[in-house]
Amino acid sequence: MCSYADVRPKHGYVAMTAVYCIKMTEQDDTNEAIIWHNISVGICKGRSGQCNACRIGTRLGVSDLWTLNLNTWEAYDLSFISRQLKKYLFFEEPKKLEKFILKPDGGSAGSKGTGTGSFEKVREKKIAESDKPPEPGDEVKSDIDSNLTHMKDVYSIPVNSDIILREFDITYGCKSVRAFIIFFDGMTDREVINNYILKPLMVNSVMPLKDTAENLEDYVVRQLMPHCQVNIDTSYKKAVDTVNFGGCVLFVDGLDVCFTADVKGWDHRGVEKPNNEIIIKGPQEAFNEVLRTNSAQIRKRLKDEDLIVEDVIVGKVSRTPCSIMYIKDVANEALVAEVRRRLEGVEVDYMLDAGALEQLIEDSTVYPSPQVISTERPDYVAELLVSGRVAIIVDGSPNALVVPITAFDLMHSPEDNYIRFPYVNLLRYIRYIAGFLALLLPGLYVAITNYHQEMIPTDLLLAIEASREKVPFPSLVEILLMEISFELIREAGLRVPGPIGPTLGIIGALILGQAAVAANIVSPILIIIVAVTGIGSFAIPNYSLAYSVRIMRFGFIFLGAMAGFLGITLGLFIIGNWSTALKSFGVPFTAPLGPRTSGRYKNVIFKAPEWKLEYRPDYLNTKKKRKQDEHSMKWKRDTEKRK
Amino acid sequence: MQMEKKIKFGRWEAVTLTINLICTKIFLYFNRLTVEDAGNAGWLMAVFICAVVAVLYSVQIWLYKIFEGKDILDIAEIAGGKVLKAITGFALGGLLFLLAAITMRKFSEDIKTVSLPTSPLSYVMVFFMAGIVIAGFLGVESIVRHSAIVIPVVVAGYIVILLGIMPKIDVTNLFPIFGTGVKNVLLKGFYRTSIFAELLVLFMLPPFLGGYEDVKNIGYVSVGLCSFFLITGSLVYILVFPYPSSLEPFLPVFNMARLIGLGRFFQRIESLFVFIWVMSALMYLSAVFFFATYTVSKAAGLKYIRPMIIPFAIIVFSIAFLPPDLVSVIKIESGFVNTWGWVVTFVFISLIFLWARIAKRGRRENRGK
Repeated sequence: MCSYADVRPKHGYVAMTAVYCIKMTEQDDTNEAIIWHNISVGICKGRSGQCNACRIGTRLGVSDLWTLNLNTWEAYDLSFISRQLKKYLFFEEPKKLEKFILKPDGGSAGSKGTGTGSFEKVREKKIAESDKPPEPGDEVKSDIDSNLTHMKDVYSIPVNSDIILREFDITYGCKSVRAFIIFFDGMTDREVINNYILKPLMVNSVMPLKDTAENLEDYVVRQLMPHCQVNIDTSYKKAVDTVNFGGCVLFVDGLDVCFTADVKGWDHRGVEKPNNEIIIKGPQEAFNEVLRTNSAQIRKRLKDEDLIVEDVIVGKVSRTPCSIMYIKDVANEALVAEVRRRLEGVEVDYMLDAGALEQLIEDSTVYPSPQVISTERPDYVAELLVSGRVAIIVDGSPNALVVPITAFDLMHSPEDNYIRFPYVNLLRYIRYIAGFLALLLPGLYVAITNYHQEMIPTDLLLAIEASREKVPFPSLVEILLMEISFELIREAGLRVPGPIGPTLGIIGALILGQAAVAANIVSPILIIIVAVTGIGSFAIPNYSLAYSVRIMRFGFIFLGAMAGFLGITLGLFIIGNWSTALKSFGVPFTAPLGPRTSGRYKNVIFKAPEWKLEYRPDYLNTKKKRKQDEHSMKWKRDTEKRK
Repeated sequence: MQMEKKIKFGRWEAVTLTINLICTKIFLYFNRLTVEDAGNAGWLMAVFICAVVAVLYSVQIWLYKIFEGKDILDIAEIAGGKVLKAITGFALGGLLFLLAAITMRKFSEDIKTVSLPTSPLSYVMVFFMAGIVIAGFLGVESIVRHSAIVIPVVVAGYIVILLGIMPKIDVTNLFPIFGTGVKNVLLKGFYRTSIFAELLVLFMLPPFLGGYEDVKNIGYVSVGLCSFFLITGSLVYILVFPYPSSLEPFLPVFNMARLIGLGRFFQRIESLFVFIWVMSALMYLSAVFFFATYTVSKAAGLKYIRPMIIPFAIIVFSIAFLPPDLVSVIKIESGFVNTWGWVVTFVFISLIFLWARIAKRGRRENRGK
């Protein structure tokens, strides 16, 4: 009944003589108690006072055993006091967090994804999951009434009005068998259910069919359900998941299985033009809110059997399907495993959009810039997948997430792949200048007007002074007034419905600016500064990055007002250091410049001609380093040979 | 899953870090110092300093060869146990703290003169303090990576200044070619190898680098590039300013930048120079401060260095206030740090290497018996 063992107290906990904890599970029948004091832990499986462990407790003055939930034992842990003392008196000992670093993959190029073997492990895991028997109590019963009652309970029928439960009979041989199907109205395709599920089951079963089926289960699935996606499941959980995701489930009396069919048919947007990432040359299709449409949009572009679409369910209640997409023989397996680990480690009740997921999987939630690319363009995702990155698609979201990224990727536009490289380089220069202006121009204005007037050329200085002569505010107040007004107009423009928005923006900015100058509240030069800053922020290709620039701009205004160029340089230094300390899914955020990796100028700040882009980014540590042949313009060589 | 437990960085990062640690002095005083010691032959003195340093480094790296992967404190431990490790750590850490404090004070005084004349000195210094504390918390990885990105920009800015000042060059400023005399060039030049005092950081880097070859190459590349910048800086300074006015004890490169005029519109662009100058200062201070904290913490056997950052920053801040004025700072800087720094960097470290080699051989022989 009893067992006793000398066990050292758990590492890190204070052990004190004559101080002990007694814990018991809530299950009365086992009465499992742990007596813990300075030298030993006893496990009691008998009644109080009858075992060695309890006797020790009694000897030390324990008169009673009290029942505690084992989960709450931390609260009675004496080392808690020492930890708190340490925390307040000294410093909190840092937790040993192992940061994920993306290193070269174990697999060789073209090894069809052997790599570190994580892909094979996942494959085995998925197979094991599909073969896993249902949990006790979750099995589908052979008695149809039990199944009917269970499903009615699960879906709160009849309170729930959009769930349809249709009972009918199937003719099997010379007898009638009771059956029912269950599905959500509005989420399923009625045509499909009527013509390919109900009609064959109710009408065709009466017809004399060639008798090849061995039993009823075989008969239903092989002869009566002419639908492309029918599965046989044995658990209620899978049945409920199918119904929740727009499927229908068939239960037949006498069978301890159910038949699940994918009959999704909810209304959704078609494939439309991108709304935010508009380009002139290149594909004009955007993602919509349907997961499979989105994955198909990428697959139709890549047409590669090594393109893997791996499903992960996120959200304990919403059970939102998400897809991890990667090219098996290109992407680093450790990276794919890390993406999978993070997605599986998201424990929220509801996951409604990729934007929410992005915040739950990124490396630093405080750093202003995004560390994940969020795009509505399938062609851009396809291009990033080819480079060895991993995409995440969330059902119900028209944006795909792509990881890992670097700071420089945020300044790239999808159009960079479709136009000639001299144009790309010009546009990239302009974008960097735009980013610089959007971030620093107001701060520089404040710094120059307050601390570094000598650097303004005399003619310009006179012009600025003349325009500021009647303005009563210091330049800091002046610029804050205008920046806040500009942000107000921008935010209001977004919220105002339909076509009024842009009009409000233009009218608001024009009238407000004009009136402010006329009223001598701000100087005309400041209107130019704020306008250029605003235009600069619109030229930043990544929407989230533009947000972060808007936030940081205010910081630079204050730093410029506090200490001129010294303050601004300090701001740049902090942002720079913070960026270099950051990683996006194991890849340094400032790669390939810091740390320096090979091929850093081919498609980072500048872009080399298309034929020069032979290698994938070094920092992604892909399985295949080479993206295209060394002589991608083979025709040119052939022409030379002919000569 | 692949995880990294140890911080590693590449050769380029280490080279940029070392270049910044040594060449920041060009912005502060190096050019003026050479003119002060050798007159018009300041640039020759710079050549001599660099040549001597190259030789001294060659000796040091030869002595270091058998200690691959170990930093100076580990080597001191091999030589004289934990006591010598602690002494070495505190000596090197002390020198670095002193350098950090003096440089912070000097930069703050200069920036106050140039841009913030009405602000109190402590206010200016708080900005530098904030920079080094934040960089310290973010760690060595971010400091060196940031160097790799920023230092090329700073160097480009410096080269722009050198090119911009070209029209003001007067070759006659080079004469008399030996300035105040060959003796001064050689003797004072030897003392001024202290300019390379921060080279000691190179022997703290091995745990973060690949191996002996890495340390050796980084050292040679750094000394080579630093020599180029120091010599060109000194030469251009002497070519631009005639001897008496080149003794002006205030920001030589800033003074050069003031002379640049690009047409009628751009007459005063020296303020832009404040960006590269302050950035360089912040990079220098954060690196020196981090390695000082790292060295002292390691010598004291402390497991974590983060809790030491704020206390040590306050100590540096306080030390920086000890000199009563800018002249005193310059005196300490040129009369002490830049005269005797070589003793720690080249003599003390070499002696430890030598001692450790002897101790290692002795142990091997004992084991053989």
